[in-house]
Amino acid sequence: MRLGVLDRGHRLRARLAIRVVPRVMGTALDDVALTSLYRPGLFGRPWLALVRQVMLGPSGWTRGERELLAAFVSYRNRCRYCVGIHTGTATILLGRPITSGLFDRWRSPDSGLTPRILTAFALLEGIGQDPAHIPETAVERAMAEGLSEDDIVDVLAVSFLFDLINRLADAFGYSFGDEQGRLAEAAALVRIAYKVPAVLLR
Amino acid sequence: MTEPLAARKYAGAISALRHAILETPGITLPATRRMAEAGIPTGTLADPWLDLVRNASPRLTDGHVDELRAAGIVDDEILELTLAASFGEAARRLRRGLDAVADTSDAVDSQIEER
Repeated sequence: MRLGVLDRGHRLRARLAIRVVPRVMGTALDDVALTSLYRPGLFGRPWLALVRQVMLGPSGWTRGERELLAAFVSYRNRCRYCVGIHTGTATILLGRPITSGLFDRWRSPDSGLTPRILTAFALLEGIGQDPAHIPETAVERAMAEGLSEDDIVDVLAVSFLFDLINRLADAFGYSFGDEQGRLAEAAALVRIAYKVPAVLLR
Repeated sequence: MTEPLAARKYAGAISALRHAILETPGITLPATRRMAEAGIPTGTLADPWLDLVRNASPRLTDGHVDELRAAGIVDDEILELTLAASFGEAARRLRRGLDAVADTSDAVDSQIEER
């Protein structure tokens, strides 16, 4: 990563975890985890609490659908790292191949995406920063197509998480290395479900 | 306009994250981080970097970090200000969406009351 403190600045207990995890998990801690473990009171502790609530908490969206939404937001933000990881997690959790190519042609009839996901993608596109899009229109359309207010707020919460972490990934130079590294990090993320031992976040 | 009820379920966790990023003691002053969050110039040499973080983060390179270091800005300062700017931009986008939900819900409620 571009900031040395995020690679080598951790406290002793975090350094030990960083050393042990690859032996236990079969893959090194990813760059989001390394950022979270550095000065956890500044970012990691509240960040991971929010991530677990949004990505795993009660919602009308399945865990796999939320990973897919995360990948779509990251694609729109052009964040290579997060697109790579979250297309990987969505692939595992949805049981079908999810690639960034899907996001180029998500409106096509053969995308295989459910009507609810198509509505959520249109919503995310509609509330984007492009002045040509009027957010109220996008919300009205999403509600008319069957999304509840709760569904929409949950989509916005996923978008919030990735609007934030995409910027950190770009700024700090997050990387998964090669394709094997990407798949390993995605599989580990699905397995640990954004959980980090509390002792490391104190 | 009223806040969508559903938004409340994340409000506490988002508020805790904001407080941590802006108020945790660090190298930079909370006031400076609040400016970075709000998207206004901090008066530091990191301002061009923070502008890119908000508006064009995929364009950030190793060279930008080298420039910050050459200007005497240390890693923890970059970290704290980048967290604040990133949070601020994500929060502005969230607000735009939540306002649209609230406006739409208010309009629907008014139509129901008129009937």
